[in-house]
Amino acid sequence: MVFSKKKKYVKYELNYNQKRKVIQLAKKLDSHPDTIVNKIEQFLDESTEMITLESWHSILAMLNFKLLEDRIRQKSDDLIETKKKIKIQTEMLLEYEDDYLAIVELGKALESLNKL
Amino acid sequence: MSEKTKYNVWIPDQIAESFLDLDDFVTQLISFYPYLSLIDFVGIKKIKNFDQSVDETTEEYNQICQQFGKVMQEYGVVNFRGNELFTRNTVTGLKLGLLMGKLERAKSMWGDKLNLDYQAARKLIQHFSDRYLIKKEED
Repeated sequence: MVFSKKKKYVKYELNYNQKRKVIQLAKKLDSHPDTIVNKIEQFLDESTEMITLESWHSILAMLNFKLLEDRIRQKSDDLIETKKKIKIQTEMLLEYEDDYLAIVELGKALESLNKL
Repeated sequence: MSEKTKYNVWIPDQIAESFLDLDDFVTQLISFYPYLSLIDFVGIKKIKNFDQSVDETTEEYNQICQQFGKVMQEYGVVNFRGNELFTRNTVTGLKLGLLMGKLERAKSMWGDKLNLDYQAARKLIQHFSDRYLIKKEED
């Protein structure tokens, strides 16, 4: 992180839970905790003028909105996936029924060997 | 891996001063990390009916959740029936294993005198036991 010489910075140390979240995030995104921390710093640095206590409320609302949109996308994908699974399983049901009849038939045919 | 490492975030003074609760602020930054690059600072100011579009999206989300719930239920029913039929075929198929022995015996006793395609019968039994008697690995 390249710090601007004109600005002052406060050092904030991540607490245990925050650290855990960052580590989890790094695993999930196939990234490194340092990268994540750096990007957050970069974001804060680049948007310093835009981030105030007031604007943060709107920003959070927008972030929640984006999150929600993402979840809708995810759910739609899951929905399509599940419908595909239903279709496959329904076809399997027919196959199972056919097989059952065939097995019973085969059983009967072989049973008749006993009578010989 | 890095449970013991310390992680520091350098926060510009100007921001740090306006937030009383930096813990909360930083936690939010981490939670929304994947979306930080998507923030449209100019757009935020332009949106007037933000609440309304959030409401609409929430409604859309709830509907899709409901729909998903129904489909999952449908899948549950189909899947249950599938397992039921599979088990029935397994139980019915068990007998075939025993009959395989009889088939061998019949062949050795009567051979060609019996009008029976031993090879085909064996193949059929094999087919069903592969399908139903050997534990399904995909599940």
